[in-house]
Amino acid sequence: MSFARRVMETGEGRFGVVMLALLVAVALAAPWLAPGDPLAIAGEPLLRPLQDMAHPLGTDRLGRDVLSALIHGARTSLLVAVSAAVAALGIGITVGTVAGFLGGWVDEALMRLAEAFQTVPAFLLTLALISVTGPRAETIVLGIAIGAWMQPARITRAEILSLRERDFVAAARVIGMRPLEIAFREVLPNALTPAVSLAAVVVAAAVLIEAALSFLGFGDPNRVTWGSMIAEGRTVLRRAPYLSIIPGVGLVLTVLSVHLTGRGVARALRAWRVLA
Amino acid sequence: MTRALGLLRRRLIGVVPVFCLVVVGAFLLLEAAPGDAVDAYLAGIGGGDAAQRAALRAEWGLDQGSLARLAAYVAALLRLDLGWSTAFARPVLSVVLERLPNTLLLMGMATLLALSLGSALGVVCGARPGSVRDRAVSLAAIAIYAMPGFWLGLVLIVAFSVELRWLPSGGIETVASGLTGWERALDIGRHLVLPVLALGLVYMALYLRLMRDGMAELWSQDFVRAARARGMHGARLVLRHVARNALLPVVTMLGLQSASMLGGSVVIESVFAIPGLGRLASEAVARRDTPLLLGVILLSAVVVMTVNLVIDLVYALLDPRVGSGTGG
Amino acid sequence: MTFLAVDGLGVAYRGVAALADVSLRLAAGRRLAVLGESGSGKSTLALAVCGLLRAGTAVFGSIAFPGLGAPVLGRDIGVVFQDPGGSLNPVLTIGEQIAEVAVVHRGRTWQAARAEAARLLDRMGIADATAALRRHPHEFSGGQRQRIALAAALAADPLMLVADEPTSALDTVVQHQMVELLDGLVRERGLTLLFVTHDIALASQLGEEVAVLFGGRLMEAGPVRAVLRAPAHAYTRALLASRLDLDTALGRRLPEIGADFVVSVPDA
Repeated sequence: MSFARRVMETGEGRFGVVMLALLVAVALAAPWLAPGDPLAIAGEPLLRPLQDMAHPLGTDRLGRDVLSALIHGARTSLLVAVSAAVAALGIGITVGTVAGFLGGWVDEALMRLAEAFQTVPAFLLTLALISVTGPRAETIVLGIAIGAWMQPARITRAEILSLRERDFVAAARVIGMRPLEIAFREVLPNALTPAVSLAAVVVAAAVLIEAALSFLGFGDPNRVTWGSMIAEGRTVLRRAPYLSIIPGVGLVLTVLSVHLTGRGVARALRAWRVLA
Repeated sequence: MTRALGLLRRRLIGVVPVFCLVVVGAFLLLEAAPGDAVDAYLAGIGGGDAAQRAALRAEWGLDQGSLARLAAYVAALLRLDLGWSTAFARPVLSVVLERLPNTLLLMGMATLLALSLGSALGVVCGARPGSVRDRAVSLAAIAIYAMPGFWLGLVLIVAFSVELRWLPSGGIETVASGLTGWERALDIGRHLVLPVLALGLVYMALYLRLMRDGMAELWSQDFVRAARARGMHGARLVLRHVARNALLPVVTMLGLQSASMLGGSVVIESVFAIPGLGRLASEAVARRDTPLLLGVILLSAVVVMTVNLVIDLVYALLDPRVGSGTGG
Repeated sequence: MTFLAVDGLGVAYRGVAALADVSLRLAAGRRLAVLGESGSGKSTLALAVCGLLRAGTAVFGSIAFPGLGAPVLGRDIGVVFQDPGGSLNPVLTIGEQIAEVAVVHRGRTWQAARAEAARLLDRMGIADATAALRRHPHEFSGGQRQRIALAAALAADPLMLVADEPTSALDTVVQHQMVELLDGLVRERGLTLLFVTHDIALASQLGEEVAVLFGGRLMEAGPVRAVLRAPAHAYTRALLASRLDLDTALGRRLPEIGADFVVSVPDA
């Protein structure tokens, strides 16, 4: 059974992949699906959804089109979340590999560092970074990453520790490869699997953190995000609750699809590993 | 008992270097922020001239090199001096201590909700994995777990506060009501229902899945079959033998989630206008009050470490294999 | 009087047959050794008798307990499994696990049940039984845990004991102790015993009757001395012939049972 087929085996796997593919497609096609500036005033303020077919999801209190903002918001959410996950995994896997392979006091020190980072709530870490650098997309990505690298680091380190003693590493040592070279060329590719299955979890968490940051007003002020839409909607919560509810549904579907896809991929990877 | 004490001692020793790293991290952040404590203080009292600035710098040891400044910072911390808050024009310590109880109350109740409801539902699902009941509840849990806490909070406000008018939409108690004792407690309770739900439901979904997955796996274990062979069945088998073991990973997760929940309280407190530590962090960033933010961070670290320690002890109580040196 | 009557028993899981057309009788108070190699279906037979087969297993034929009606596991039948580490709940004390059997099946109070548990542990040879009640399974050795599991199996004073390879996971010295213990207990309590083993010596030592299984089918059954002295079936003959003991001539390779149950020593 091909890998893709295996992922789509369960109902939840299918839903996850299809939903995620849809979201990615929408995000990529944003400039064509919703041309123009989503922050520009497009019509009358506070139109309800389905009231005016020119604005199928209604407008906010300034008259900006909700559907357009929703589509562009998808772009920002996914972009930030994926970048943050890549950064977190990059940092985590590197740290984990170095710690697992070099061992000794380097390992001790790095693991204590990870523990220190885990003691402070991740959201506060992100806030701390933003308070110093200001809220820009790049710093938000980094801020999320510094709160999420620890788990990939631990998992990679554990995998490296178990692989280190295996025969193919001894063979590499015998032919004279240097320790770090062995680490990155031989051991790392094998150790990646568990960290990669963590990717979905990190992406999902990053989506939520970015949304929370935007909601509080610490997001990138130049972009439309679902979080900022919800914050905007909050000011007219009693009159127009749909302004806050709709972007939230987008968030839920995104996180859900990432989770379910991740679970499907993890299960497929496990089965594949067993057979290999 | 001695096993628990030994564990406690070992964990306390392990905690020290970690906290030191957090302190160093906090110091680095303080250094990285624009302006320093003197600027902040003078801005708070209406400005000062260069001479005053220099004098204060010398007095507070801020004209020394980095290492000396770090030493001064640590010395201040040991005196429980967390610096001066520009936003509140008060020592940071008094501000954070004032807000701490509200956050602890919120977190405590949310954890209670998440743990009790999550475990109970998890047992119900895990008693018969794969049943219709199990699949329906698990699906709902997965959906809830995907929800942003702040959005869930807003949805709850719309539903229960705006539409149904059953519960208040913000604050921790009715302002200037003059209530005391039992009535005040009830008032606070009413105000906390929605925020506790918003914060706790997501974690409830997590513990539910953990409990259920744990139990589903345990059913095929040898000792469960052996218990069946001894004639154990029904509630006795489910609770005493299976659930009791499935509780262990849930308790472990409790410890790991304490930091996450504290972070979650930042948004929840903002949505519900609760004067707690989380919202304080948000205010500190908005008003560029770095010492205050650091105070919140350090206090959060202390809370997380304390909670982890307590959870470790509870886990040792539940799992007799821990800390006795014979496996486990 | 027949205690256990098995007729045409067949067991299949997911289309694969583990047992086919097995019939045997076990009289009350007698001891039956179910003998066979791995994959012979012997454990499946024991589990089927106890009603402990996995959900989704197809069962054909009949298993009856004349004179007993529908037996209650734990009360009428006690079971001991092969893996001593896997029979006990790791988070409960052994006292709780032994006592709960008497509480659930015989309506004892916890106090009385615990006192009985201490007596049982003492009979099993666990030192300082009363203190042991408060300890957890991981504090005991494998041999001790097997004996504790045995105590729990007998706590409700059952009529029959089913043991699935009770000594296979134990080392030789401990095995001997276990066999002596089982022998003594069965005698004292007048238990009907069904035990599963791959060890011919154990079968002849502890058993009075033997049933030989191969490939899920019953090859031969009868009194143990008679069957082992003059086996009627080729497989039983082959089993005996390939057995090793101190008299076996030292060679390079061990004898194997080949097609049609012919025993030969392969060329080195």
